[in-house]
Amino acid sequence: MMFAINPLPKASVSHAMPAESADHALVRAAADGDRHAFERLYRRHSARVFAVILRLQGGDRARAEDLTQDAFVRVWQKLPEFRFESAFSTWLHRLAVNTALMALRSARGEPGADEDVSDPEFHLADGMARLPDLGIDLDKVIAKLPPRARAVLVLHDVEGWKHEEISDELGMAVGSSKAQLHRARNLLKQWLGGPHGRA
Amino acid sequence: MDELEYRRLLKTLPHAIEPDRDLFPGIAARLETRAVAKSQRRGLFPFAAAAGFTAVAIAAGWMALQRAPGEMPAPTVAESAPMMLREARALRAEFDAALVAGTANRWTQVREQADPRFVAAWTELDAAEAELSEALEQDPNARFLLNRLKQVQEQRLHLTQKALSA
Repeated sequence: MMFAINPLPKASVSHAMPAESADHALVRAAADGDRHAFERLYRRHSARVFAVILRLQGGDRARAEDLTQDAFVRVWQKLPEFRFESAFSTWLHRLAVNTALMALRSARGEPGADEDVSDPEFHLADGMARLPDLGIDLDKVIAKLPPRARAVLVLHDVEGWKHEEISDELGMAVGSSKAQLHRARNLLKQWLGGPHGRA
Repeated sequence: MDELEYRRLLKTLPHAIEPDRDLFPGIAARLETRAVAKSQRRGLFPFAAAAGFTAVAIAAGWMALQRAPGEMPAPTVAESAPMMLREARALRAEFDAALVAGTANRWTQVREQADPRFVAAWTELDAAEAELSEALEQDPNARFLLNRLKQVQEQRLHLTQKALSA
């Protein structure tokens, strides 16, 4: 009996392969023009990318979908620039965040350091935010923050970025990033429940 | 709410959220469009630059001949000079209106935001148009200058359509 041994497809990735190695194999294939490899990269990362863009865009799903597409088109164009010195997911997320922030800047103009809260009267009594266990949907509350404060809070507290990285991406001083985070947290805590507990 | 409670709330946020629809077909379509536009641009720009250069050369050559009337060939068809000039002006107005209408009154904006290679090609064609117009003013009987002017205007319109679809 003869067994035909087919060569592995270009973008073949073993399930046993660590995530980063699998990503790198797909990136190499995609950078050579393999669209199927690129689609697999998209399938592996799109939900994470969409989540961060959605939060930066204040919960606007349609806008976040458009920007996720923009981000992946940019990823395809920039794949040849990826140097394999870091995790692909880190590089991808930076590019996605950059895409979302550029859109925020162009949509609202460069937000000033003294931008006001979009809705200072907002509080949970509006009845729009509910979380399964506590009755609060934190994402909806974060969406009410002013854009720049929201961006700092999402990148620092949710995505785990350092203030130095945030200041580079947002074009602000490290001190301003810290101040925006402080402001954002205070607003959240105020909305979620003052010093006497939850609203 | 204290810090611990805030941290606990943060941990409840999902790190992955699925979009409402599959976004990849749209991404793939855009990659395809860009690939096609890129290959079209490769063919378009040398053509536009060459067209502009040829028009400038024709106009310059014609004006040089005008300055040496002894060597100038007589026009084969004598036409009413004012009529030819009026035709040229009407032609320019017609194409300018088409450019403005085709870009939904955003002609200046489209031009400012276009790929620099488009801008370079427009500059070539603008120079060609200026040279041809000047040559035509000097010799309003030269029908071929008017024809050439029309070709340059058509190329400008074609280039604008390409820039809008890029």
